[in-house]
Amino acid sequence: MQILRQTIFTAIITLLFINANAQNAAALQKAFSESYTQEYNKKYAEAIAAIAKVNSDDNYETNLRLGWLYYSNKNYTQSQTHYQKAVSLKPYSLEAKLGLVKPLSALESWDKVLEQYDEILKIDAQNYTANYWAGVILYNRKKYEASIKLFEKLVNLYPFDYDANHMLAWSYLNSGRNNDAKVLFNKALLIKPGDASCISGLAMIK
Amino acid sequence: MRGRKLITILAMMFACNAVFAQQTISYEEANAKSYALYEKGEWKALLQYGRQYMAQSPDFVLLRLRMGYAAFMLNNFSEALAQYDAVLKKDSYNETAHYYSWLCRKYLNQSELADVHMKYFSKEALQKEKIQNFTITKIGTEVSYKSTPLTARGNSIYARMDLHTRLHRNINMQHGFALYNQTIAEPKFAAVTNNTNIPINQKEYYNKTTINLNRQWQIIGACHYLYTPFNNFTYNNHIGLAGVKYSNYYFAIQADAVLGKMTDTALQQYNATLSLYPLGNLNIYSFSTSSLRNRNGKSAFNFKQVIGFKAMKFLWLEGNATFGSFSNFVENDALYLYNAIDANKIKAGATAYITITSKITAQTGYTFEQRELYKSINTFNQHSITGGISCKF
Repeated sequence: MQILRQTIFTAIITLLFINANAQNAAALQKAFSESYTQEYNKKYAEAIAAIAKVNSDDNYETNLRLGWLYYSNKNYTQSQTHYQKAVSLKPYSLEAKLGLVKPLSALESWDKVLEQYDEILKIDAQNYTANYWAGVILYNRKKYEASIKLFEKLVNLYPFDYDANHMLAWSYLNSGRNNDAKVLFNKALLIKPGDASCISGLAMIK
Repeated sequence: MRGRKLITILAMMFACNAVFAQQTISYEEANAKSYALYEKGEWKALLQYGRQYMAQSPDFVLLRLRMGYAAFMLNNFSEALAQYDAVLKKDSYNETAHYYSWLCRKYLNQSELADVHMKYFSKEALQKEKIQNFTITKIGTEVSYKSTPLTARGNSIYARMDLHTRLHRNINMQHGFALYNQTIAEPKFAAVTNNTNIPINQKEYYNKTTINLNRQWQIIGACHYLYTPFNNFTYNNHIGLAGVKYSNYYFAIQADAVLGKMTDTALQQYNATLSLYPLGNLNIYSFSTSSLRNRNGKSAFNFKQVIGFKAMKFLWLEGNATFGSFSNFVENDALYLYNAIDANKIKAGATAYITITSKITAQTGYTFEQRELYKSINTFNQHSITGGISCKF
């Protein structure tokens, strides 16, 4: 009799737990669904409110979603906070890091942007976005040798990519490698004929 | 009944407070409002608004830049530096923040530390400010006439020429060439020939090098050589100084050690200086220096206080006093060496700095010293009048 009572009790508890989980999952799905609808209608505050109801500090998905929605709503500081939480929850998530870069860029926190790109490249050394934009930041900081390393990687991976060829050409030009720059400006002109930036670069070499 | 009413009112007030306390300003609102205040030039309101926002939300570069400019326009250069420093923590290459930080340091009379920002200037900014990496930054001269009522201590003249150079944006070097002339009579110097007529024609060379380590820290090295003829004796005095300086926004701290040989006797002196800019500018400033000296196995402590303020648009007045008797004492990063045979008992003075043009500054000052006659308990007074002029490039 004692054994039977214990078994029934355990079964009830298990059922309650499964039911609670099912309810949670349903609530999350409903909240996400509602947020997509509101976002589609550009009602970002309502979309945020839908997710905020089910958000918790340890939920990667809700924090990632709130990061995006706050960014869309131009509340960059809140967006940064939620993306940062998502990054902390899943340190190997590239999507969270690439998401975090968005509000950081809007806030002009370029050191932190570069930090995120460095983190991404530690996980995925070939990542196009991280290589390209880290290269652009370094180029703007006149660190041409460092930017050349990143753009060269991209040109090897994507030999017929305009952006990579174009930025590598400018990096070469500014570091005094005029012949290399000339070749790349001409190559970039094959991809984007008549490109003003490439033409002005070539004019500087002549 | 009345009690219940009171409780209800208090509860409502508490609830209202709670509601207001929870109201947070969004980034978008803070960005728009701070920009509007910036456009209107409402600097005080902008600073207040920014602080209010940052108390509850994370800061952002544009807000800090606007707050920095607001503080700059209010002549609070220390506050502006703090704001620009916050920008540089997020964007270490931000040219605007570097440029205004450079200006703020200059206006706080910290020109050497200001140069650390030059690295981030564009070619256009360097040309506009006519800045070169290697150049003469300042020349100056200082002449002092000292008189005493004692015939045994003739009146003296001290004259110095300074040349300040920038060797690199992080390395500044000052050279000083000085002459000191006085004729004394001291019969107690038995070994000195013709001791009733000892003409001291002292020649000096001073070198101070300042190296910027980063936006706050500097290393200071200085040496001072004095050639002191004394009839049949000649002294080659050498003094070396090494120190570190940390410059925050409203204050700076310097610690240095002086080692050397004066009148054939080893000397050690340890100094700690606190510089304060309570209003974030040079409208009021204070320099306090504590010094511990050791020479011939005897230790002594001195405290020097300088307080200055801006009296008029072009005039700064400064008062100074050194407490504690001293001889063979080193002051102002070893620029001034007190190696007279008569110990100082009291030293106090005042200096006026007059800005003639934005590049030329003149100075005039008076110093009173009470001195103890060599190997006696008798004292005498010395009055000094100092004049000087310097030109910045």
